[in-house]
Amino acid sequence: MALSFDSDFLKKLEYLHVVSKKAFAGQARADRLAPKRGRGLEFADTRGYSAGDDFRHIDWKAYKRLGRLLLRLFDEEQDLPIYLFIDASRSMEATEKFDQARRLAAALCYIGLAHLDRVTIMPFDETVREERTAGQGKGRIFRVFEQLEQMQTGGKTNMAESFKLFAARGRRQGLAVIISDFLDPGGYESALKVLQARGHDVYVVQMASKADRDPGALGDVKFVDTETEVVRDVEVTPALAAAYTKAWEEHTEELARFCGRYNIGYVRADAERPVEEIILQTFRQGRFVA
Amino acid sequence: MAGWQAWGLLALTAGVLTWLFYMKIRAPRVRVPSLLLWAKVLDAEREVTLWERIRKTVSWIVIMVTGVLLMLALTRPAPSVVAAGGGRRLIVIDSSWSMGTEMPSGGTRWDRAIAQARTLIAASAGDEVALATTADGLIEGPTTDSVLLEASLDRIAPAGGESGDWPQLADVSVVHFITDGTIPRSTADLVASGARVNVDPVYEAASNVAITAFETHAGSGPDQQAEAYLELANYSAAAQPVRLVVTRGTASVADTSIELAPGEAVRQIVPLGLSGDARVRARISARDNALAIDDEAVAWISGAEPLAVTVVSDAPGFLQVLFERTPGVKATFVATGDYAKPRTGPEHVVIFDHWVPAEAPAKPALFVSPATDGWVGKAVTEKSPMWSTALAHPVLRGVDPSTVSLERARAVESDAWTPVARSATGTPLVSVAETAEHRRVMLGFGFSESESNIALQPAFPVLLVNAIEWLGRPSMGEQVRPGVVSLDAVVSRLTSPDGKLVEVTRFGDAHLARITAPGLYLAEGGGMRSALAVNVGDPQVSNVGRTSLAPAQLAGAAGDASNAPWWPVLIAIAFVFGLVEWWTWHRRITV
Repeated sequence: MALSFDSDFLKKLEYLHVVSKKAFAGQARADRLAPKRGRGLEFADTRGYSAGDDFRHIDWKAYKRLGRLLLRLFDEEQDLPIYLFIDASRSMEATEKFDQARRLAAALCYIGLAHLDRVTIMPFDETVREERTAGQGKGRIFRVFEQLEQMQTGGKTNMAESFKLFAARGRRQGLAVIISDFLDPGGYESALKVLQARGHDVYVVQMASKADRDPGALGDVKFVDTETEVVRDVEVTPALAAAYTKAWEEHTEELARFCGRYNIGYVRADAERPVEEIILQTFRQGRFVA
Repeated sequence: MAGWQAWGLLALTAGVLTWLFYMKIRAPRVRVPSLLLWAKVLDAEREVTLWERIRKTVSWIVIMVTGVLLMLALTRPAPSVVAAGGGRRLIVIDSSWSMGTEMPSGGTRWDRAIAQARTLIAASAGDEVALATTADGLIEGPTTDSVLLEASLDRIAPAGGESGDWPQLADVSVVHFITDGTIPRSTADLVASGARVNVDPVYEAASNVAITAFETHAGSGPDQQAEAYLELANYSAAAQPVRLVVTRGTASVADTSIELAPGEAVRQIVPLGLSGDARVRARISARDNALAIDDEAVAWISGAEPLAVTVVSDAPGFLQVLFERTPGVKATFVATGDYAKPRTGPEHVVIFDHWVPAEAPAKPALFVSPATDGWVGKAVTEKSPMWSTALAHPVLRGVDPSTVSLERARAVESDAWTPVARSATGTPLVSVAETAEHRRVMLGFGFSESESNIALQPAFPVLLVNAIEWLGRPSMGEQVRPGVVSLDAVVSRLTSPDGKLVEVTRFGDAHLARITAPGLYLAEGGGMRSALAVNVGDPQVSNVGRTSLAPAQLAGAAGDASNAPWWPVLIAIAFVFGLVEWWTWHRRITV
């Protein structure tokens, strides 16, 4: 799959930024307000001078009026660590879910790079495969595209193991975006809790396709699990098909309910919808980007 | 179909359908992202699996029933009223000409009757069945061999027989009379015999036009035309034009269109010209015309071809004068001394005047005043005989003996001669002899003034022409209908229009032939030839828009499902079953 966006869409993306509900300390100066006072341009406060303070920040006008040495404090503006977890298990390969996931990841990367955020792309299946940091600045987007294009699906989904492994690496707190269909036999709850427990601001993007929502085939069918190759004979009656659709909707609602309960951002992205529409409408409505 | 064949067919059908059933539901492989949700659903739905199996079984049963219905339809099951085991059966098919009527719903009444007979035969497996028609009587059976009966059905066709007797068959329990009721027939005799009589109607009203009468006669004089008398009838509910074409030989003498009102019958006289072929044919055509057999009629103008008469006489006198003025007779005069010389041209009748040849002639002969002993008989003479006794005979038709005064009788008598007119003392005055080989007439008096005054009386031409006609042209009747026909006794050979010989049977003096199709038949015998015109010409046959069957019989046949053939219903049910199964399968309502 060749990733590319037209210039109009890229210009619209530049006006957006990824919303984080928390302020995180970054590594480099950037556009985002850091939790500590620092060397920014915006005046924040004053405090009494202590030995060792940089006397260049002493407010001499206040000393003239008050006769006390006061130190001027400024807001620190740093970059935001964004971790993009892309589900690269085999369940994603059907009906363009994986392609759509890579397009969304590319768009989010571009938004982040445009605001000098530190974007890290991490495909996962049974574990986190690799961890690539895109760097800072819009110019890095082509490397991101190349990286996403080379990404392949394979293996089973195991979110809990993957995120435990990520948490164990002790990365800086930041915004964790998980793009997945959340069809994990082991469940997604513990995995999301692990990320949140590590202090990350977690966002969930649920990928869905028509094949997930509607069984399509009716009658006697041998269903083959793409990940496990397990075969199951099913007599798909209209009633059973309706039951399946209902089960999928319950699965989606359950995920959304879980995210709401744990203050996790949630949006649903259908594979059949254009990526521009998902970014500019769905993500904005979900306050994921602004 | 024998029992083992039916069971074999049933087993084969069931096997094939079962195989097709499981072929049909072979599951395709479908790759899905995950079976996670399917596992949840199936775990939840597990309790209805039994119901799914029941539905699948129902679907299989529906398919099997469909197959069995089709198999039963192939075997053409019979109405319940003729279920096997009911004893000997007699199937009588009405073979009157009206059975050839084309029905508005398609096919002819005969086709439907044959189909009905086949159904009855198939339903009577194991029982003895006899097959008969009203024209031919018993034609097959009683037998249990359905193949034999079916083959007989293939051979028969409408052949008249409207007034034939019922076929006689002992120990018949059920008689099925398949008829359209156009020609009413009483079944009282059958009922009286103890058999149960089922009338199976094949009637469906139809419109028809017909030639109900056709006759010709030659002109009575040399300057008079022959004429054809026609009667046309329109048996339909609407007026319609009818085209009439009359031909004499190959020449068309009339081609006209006549507008006939509903139920109207018109009579036409068609002039046929002064001379021409003896064969006359009339044909009609119309829009609503369900029966074809009555659309054509034929006739034979007996006087159209002149009779060639050879007069062997040394003094023909009055005979010469008579034959010069008699149309339809071409006379040749030969002296007695020249009789033995060969003659050319046709010679239908020979007249021996006061002379008898040494050997009997091969041709029909009229002997005038023979009075000589020899092969012809023993000579008998009488002076001034009184014509006192006469028998009814064609030769004497129209002859008034009271005007005849005889001076002298010079006759012969023998066992070969049958006197039809005698003198008061018993001298034969007019005798006839008729065998299969020849016809002869003997007049025991001459025509000269010294012998009689007959030459000056009206009886003279009448007697002579009667004798020549009887000798030269066998009488065939004015109009003959198909069926058993009584022929002139001299006719020994009858040939149908298609050149086949028709069997002529003798019962004493009667010669009978069974004629099964209309047309012009050639009759031969005694050195003579003539034609026999056979036409349907019966308003009762042609009026195919009515029936003698009671409305209850017709309604019962239409409404009684047990009398109707089952197989179309079975096919229809099988079709519906198949359609429902197919639809529900595609809708996944069943499996």
